[in-house]
Amino acid sequence: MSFKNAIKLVFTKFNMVWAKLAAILVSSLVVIGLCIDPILSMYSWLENMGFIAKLAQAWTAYSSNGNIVSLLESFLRLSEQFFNYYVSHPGILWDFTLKFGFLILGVYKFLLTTFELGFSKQIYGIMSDNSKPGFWVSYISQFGKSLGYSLVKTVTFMIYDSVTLLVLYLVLKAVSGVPLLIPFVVMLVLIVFLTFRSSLFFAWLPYITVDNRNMMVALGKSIILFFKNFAKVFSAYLISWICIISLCVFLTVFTFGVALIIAVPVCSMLLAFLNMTLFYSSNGMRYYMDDKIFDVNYIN
Amino acid sequence: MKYIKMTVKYLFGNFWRVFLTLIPISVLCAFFIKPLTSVTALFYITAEEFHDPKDLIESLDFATEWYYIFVYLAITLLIAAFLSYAYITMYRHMRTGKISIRTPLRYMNGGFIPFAKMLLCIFVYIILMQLIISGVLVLFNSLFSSLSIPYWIFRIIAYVLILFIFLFSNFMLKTPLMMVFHMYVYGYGLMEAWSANGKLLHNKFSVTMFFATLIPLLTIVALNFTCLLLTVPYWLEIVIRTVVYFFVFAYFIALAITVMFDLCEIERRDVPRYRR
Repeated sequence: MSFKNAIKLVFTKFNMVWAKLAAILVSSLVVIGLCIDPILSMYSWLENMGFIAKLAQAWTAYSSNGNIVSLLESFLRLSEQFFNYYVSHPGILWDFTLKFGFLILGVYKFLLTTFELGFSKQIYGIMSDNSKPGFWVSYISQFGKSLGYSLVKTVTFMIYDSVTLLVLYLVLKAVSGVPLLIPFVVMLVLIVFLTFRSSLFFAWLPYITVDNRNMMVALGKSIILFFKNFAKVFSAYLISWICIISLCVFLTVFTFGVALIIAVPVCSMLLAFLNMTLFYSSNGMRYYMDDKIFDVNYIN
Repeated sequence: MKYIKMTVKYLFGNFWRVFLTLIPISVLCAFFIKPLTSVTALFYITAEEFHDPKDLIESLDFATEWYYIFVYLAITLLIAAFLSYAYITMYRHMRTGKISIRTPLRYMNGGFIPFAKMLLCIFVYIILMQLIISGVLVLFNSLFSSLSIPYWIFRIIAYVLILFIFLFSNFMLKTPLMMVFHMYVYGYGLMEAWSANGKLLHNKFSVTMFFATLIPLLTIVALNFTCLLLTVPYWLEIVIRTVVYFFVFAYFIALAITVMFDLCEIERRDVPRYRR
């Protein structure tokens, strides 16, 4: 029920999706501005290794003959080559990890996360009293808080994601003898870890915005709330992550990546609404769903 | 249009006193700061093709020595002191009906902290915008030259980006102008003043302020381009910059105070019909 309500809320308040898109655009511009030097050096490194040319070749082949299987095969082969190169050159490994993983992705994640508290405040207004506070007012009034929240969340998620990558690498090494199992196992590990990440921290933002809790207290209470309502929360996030991954892959393949521009903000707003609906329903609180009365006779 | 008329009327009514408060800082700024360099960089981007990132950054004028940042910081603090002098002079004139410029140190002390906070925020914003413009343009330049995409696409991206950031900055400019009033008169902190300011805005007012702040900026851009195209001598450029800085400071401060008096419905004692 929470999943259905979250989808309905996303599509009734669709202009929040455009705000999210603007936030993504702004933070990517800022990241390009701040980290231009590592980006350029990484780009020239990739170009010297010949990965850029191979990627462009695979994409050109796909857009001329439309063969999805060959595209996926070439991507898999490229990533295999890349990982082999990455693991066998320890000097480049640290350089690449520092530049790409910690600097560019870290700053990008940090900037994107600073917007989340403002959105959460807006969602709280929509669901609790059917009013919508303006984005700038709710963003600015929470600005100092959201910087601290963003720092803690970025560090936590970075540790979690590196653990995920480590587990993925170990599992791949274990099943590398059976090529039949590889795609299945990769997808399974990814979905389980993403679901667990989302559901472990699901009530963190709601506790901060709705209950006005301290950041660390909210984190602890969120984990306790998740284990109290394990089945409900975990199943909701499992279904939503399966939907998100299949939707994004399907849209990318059939629109040549154009539809991702709108699919990514819709999915992230869906997760933000799902946090709130699950929090409200597991605490037994009521919320507004829709503010308009629908009548066919009054449509002009 | 209403606010532009009120501001210009006020400025020409009390020209000499405003002139005396603001002329030292405008001369100082004219020697040290070139206004709106990233917009004039459009001239270089149109004129030639860049294949090395360093040339492009130099044309965007962000490649000066690193210690210049301290010079700019010192100038920012000086600007804060003098702007607070002019601001409080005008504010007291409108509030009490009397104008006096005899106690500069007292007035500088009165509004220094709000102006310093505000101008440091603007300073960070300007540096961030310069970094964004140069970063995006350098990235696209190297990407396009490595994938051998024709150069006119890069030019179009540069025009769109710089114009968009110029208009966006102009759209945001009304916020710091109005925030000083909240901070000095009502005693809010920086973030509180910002969110209190957001509650005062509505659509029609935003459009009015957009054009009220756009016109002086467009004048600066036009003067910059004429200086660049005609290659005027250095002393003339300094004189032009002094005049421009003086009018921009005076106009923006007078605009900020008149707008806030109008929005908060405080009666203006300097206007004859209110005098009793």
